[in-house]
Amino acid sequence: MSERPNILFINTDQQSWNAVSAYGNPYLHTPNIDRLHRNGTSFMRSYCSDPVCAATRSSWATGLYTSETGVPFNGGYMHEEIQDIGQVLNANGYKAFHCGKWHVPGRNVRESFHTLYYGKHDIGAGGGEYYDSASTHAVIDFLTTYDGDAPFYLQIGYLNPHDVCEYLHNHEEKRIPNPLQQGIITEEELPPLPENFHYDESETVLQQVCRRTDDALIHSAILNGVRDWDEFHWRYLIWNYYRFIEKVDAEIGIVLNVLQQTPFCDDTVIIFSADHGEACGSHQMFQKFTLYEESIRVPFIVSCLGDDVPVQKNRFDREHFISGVDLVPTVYDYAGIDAVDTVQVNRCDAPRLGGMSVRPLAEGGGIPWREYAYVESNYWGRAVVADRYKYVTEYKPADPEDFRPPGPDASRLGRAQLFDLQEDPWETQNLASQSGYEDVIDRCRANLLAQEDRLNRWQIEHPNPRNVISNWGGRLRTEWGGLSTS
Amino acid sequence: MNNSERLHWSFDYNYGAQKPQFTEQLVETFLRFYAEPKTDRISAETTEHIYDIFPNYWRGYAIGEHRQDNLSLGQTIIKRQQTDDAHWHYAIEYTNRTSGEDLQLRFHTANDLYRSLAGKWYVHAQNDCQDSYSTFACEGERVADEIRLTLNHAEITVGCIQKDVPFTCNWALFDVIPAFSRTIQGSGEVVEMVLLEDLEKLRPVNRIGFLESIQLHETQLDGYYLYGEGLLPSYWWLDMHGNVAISANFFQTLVLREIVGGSA
Repeated sequence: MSERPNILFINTDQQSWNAVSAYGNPYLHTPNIDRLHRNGTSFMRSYCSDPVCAATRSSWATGLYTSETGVPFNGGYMHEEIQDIGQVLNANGYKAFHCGKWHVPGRNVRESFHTLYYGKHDIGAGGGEYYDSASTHAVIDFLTTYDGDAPFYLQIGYLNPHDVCEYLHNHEEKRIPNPLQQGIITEEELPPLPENFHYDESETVLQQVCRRTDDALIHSAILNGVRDWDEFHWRYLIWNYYRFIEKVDAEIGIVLNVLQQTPFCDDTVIIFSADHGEACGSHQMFQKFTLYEESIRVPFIVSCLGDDVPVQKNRFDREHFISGVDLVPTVYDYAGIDAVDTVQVNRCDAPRLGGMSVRPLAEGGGIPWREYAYVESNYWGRAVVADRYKYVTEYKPADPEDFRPPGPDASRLGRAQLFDLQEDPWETQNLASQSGYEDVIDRCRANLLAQEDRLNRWQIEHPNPRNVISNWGGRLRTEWGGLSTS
Repeated sequence: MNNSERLHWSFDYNYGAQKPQFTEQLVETFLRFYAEPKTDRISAETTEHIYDIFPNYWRGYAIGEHRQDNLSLGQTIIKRQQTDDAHWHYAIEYTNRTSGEDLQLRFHTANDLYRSLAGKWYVHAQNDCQDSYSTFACEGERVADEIRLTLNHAEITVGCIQKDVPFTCNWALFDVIPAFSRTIQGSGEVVEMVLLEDLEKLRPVNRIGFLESIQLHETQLDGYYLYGEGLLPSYWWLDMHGNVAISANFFQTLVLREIVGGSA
């Protein structure tokens, strides 16, 4: 085995864990992601650190949770003291390359990486139709010409299926006729409505203010555009979503085919994941920004097309909880870099990497592992997913706002949801207010607070995210104020 | 032009107060071309259709460059020439300021309704962004059932198709759909084929069918849809002379701006 293999991190944008044909989804065809699975291990309990692009990507870049990076939502701004994966790898014998989507505000990708392609006007959140094919071309150009002495780390940020957001924006102001009635598509082709199409009306206040009310903080124009969608519209959304995934799967296929023809094939470890999922009608929701499984659970595959990198092939790992913060320690493990030394900051409360290397698990070994996944969302939202129970909660906004990401503080916790994922994998029955679950909630809450006690949540200083926190916090305080007086 | 005018849903990408307005720009290009009466097919050795590219997307993401006076992101030129009784040669130039990547595609087809790919084909991409990627080259051919590509210097097989299955490139659809239009429209049937998207990606299951006819500023347009695996639906609007006047896929709408050498 190569001591320092090349590392290829392929990521898609907004792909839920179950949107892969190798995992049994009959409504789409992903032969190339399937190929990664056949040549590697699929971790079926993989969760993003935060279900929105910039936030989770700040975790990919640092190995830290989003309350630590300075990017707890799309409008965040990365703390400048934190080293990113490109800087660390470049300083430790690797050559780090980036291609495609980056979307980590506050960090110039061209300063941290050698960039192959980043768009004519810097790639933003979306645009897979324009950028993904060009990214593939750039990667082919790289793979067929790279002759550097150093092993490479290459991260390819594909934008699709994020373009499903464009599909949704298209419906802000218009309706399309039913293609079923027009005979364009058949009933058999349309995926069914998800089993959890209906939603829990006792969701957190944060979720309601961000995603449910007419003046929702996040994409209210879409919300109001889809309010009167019928069953067909939701099913057609899912159908379209799967086409976006097939598009990006084809791009991945070309990269894999070319890699196989290069000298790098045998000693390149491939990590595949997505930044977050897509609700796709579950809980009558669209996009991400929620703590339901469809939004936070993502594919995570460690693979190698050749034989020089030991990876258990064609295997499902349904046991271990993987987090988006695990990418960095996994890459550092393969690169032979001591992860402890990588976070250099000019503060005494230096953060520690929250993640763990997945490499031993991919090799089939057993090591002590975390017992739950911890996920943050929309600054105040939190989830802990354990073997059986999933606990979702929120922090009430501080008053006055201190711009320090909340936690651990039991006194500020707001509403909660509790789901029994064994009995109710679709999260349709909120058990939080039912008797008999008090002990379960206590344990979940204790896990949440213990996890947060290990985080270093620096005060957010940049004015842009401060504005977001002020505006959103104001709305939340108003909402909580109304609840306390009613 | 009244901004409140709604275009057909398949190419209606106006977003509220965004400027410039999609409707206004599309109709302006459309009317500039269709203001003059068109004649039927003109005999010409080479025919070029030139299209403006308009963005279908919500510009909250600030993708690409948006000038205040012109929404067009670039242009597509579809140039074809009948080389002999049995073959056509196509040259496609796709220039889009958003990606920074200009594509040139060259391919031959049989002189059949499907414009079946024949011989070798070529893609050349030029990137003018500031990053390291500058050029990309692809050469492809069908060898028995296999679709083989040489990408820079790497030889790969992107898939297999059976010999008797219609097989063409998405850019030939500008002639394929007109060729099948009367058959499809009259019968309600669909035409199925394998597509090689941009001469690189194999899309094995696709169908083209008739959508409906509309009037756009007194010009009759007949609409067709393309549905397939790995593709978002696209909608093709033909004028009465068989020119694709508007082609709307998921992310962009092509609007016919000019024909050089007569209508195909």
